[in-house]
Amino acid sequence: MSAGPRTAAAEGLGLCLACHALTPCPPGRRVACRRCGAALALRKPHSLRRTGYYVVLGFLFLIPANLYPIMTILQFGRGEPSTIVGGVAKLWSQGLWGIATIVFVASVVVPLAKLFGLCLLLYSVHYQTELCPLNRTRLFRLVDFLGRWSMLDIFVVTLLVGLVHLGQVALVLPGLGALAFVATVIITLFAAQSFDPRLIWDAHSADEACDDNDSDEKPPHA
Amino acid sequence: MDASPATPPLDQLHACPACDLLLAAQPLNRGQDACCPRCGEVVRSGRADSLNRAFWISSAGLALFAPAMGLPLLSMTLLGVHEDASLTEAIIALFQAGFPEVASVVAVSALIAPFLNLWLMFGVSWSLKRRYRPRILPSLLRLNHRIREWSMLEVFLLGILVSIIKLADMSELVVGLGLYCFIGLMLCTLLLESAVDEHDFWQALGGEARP
Repeated sequence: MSAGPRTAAAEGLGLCLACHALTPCPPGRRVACRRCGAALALRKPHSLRRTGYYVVLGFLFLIPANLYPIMTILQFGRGEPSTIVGGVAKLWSQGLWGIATIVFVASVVVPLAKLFGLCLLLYSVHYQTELCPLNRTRLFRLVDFLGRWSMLDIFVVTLLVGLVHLGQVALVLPGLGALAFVATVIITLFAAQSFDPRLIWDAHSADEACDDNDSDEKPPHA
Repeated sequence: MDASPATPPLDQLHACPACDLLLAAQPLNRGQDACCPRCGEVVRSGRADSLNRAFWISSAGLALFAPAMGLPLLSMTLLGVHEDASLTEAIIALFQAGFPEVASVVAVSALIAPFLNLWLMFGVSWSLKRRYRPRILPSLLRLNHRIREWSMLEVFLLGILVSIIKLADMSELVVGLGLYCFIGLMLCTLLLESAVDEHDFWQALGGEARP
């Protein structure tokens, strides 16, 4: 057990992210997977830089997504455009706290948490911080899982626009904010896809998991 | 490499997709998951009869697809005026309202991606069941792997729920037949992920040749 557990990259093996077969691969090169033919590399190429660009773009689109109205609900010709936060506030004022919380989490908390979470991951990988890699992997899993739920508000707008077009009586119109918000969601999905979670572990020796486990490796004093 | 014993053949090795730890392949019982000892990622899941399951689940999903997309999900009555909307109609309405980009994204995530996912799983499992392996199968499986994360039916269902609550105080709402089909369709796409192990497909393909 002197060598301890090893990584595939240390053995010169690249993992195919489509079919999970291993193929010998020189560092920094792309080869075709020997089973399914997909292009693979030891690590996703330019992962940090690409994720960084997407994160910056995501933050930029988040501004118009929240400033412009996402939709307008007109009843008898009256009604005002509402932004994402405005819609949540309206639900809250109607006493629908549960649903207001769900929409708030999906449309405001998740995109922000996702972008800040990716920032933290990018920072920690680039500067090789001492943060526990296991917790960072968990953070990435959370970011990856939560992202899709931001589409909630867009789907609500789609349904309301499709359902409510009764002319003078009631009408729902989409707003420019919906366009910017869709862009944010798509960009953050791409950002999570282009991040390679294996980079989190690359700075650590293969058999340490957390700082807590360091004590196991030290020789006993007695 | 020097300190290590001879590396076993590549097909008996796995690597964790989340932390790249090399792992020895071990046979799994049905319902068992193989987790990475370092980061806890599920590396393999043992599923009984993945091919047959995928075949029948995707068949059921395809049967439900047209009614789920075409029949009205909700209908509302306001001052005697009646209105209903199916998923397809809602996407077209958004398109006509001057937001083709948003409508396209919704179409991909709620209609096209689930549709392709079901057809690809149906087609691939059908041909593998009959031991028919055309050269295009690996590409189809790969396409399925990529398209799957763009299928967001479960998010759409939550969207329907939020819409119902938003409209409830404004008008009379009736749940349409399309909604029941939609829920069934969504369950099929979720089952395709949890009850089927994609790795069984790759093994059935058996293209492990070229060392």
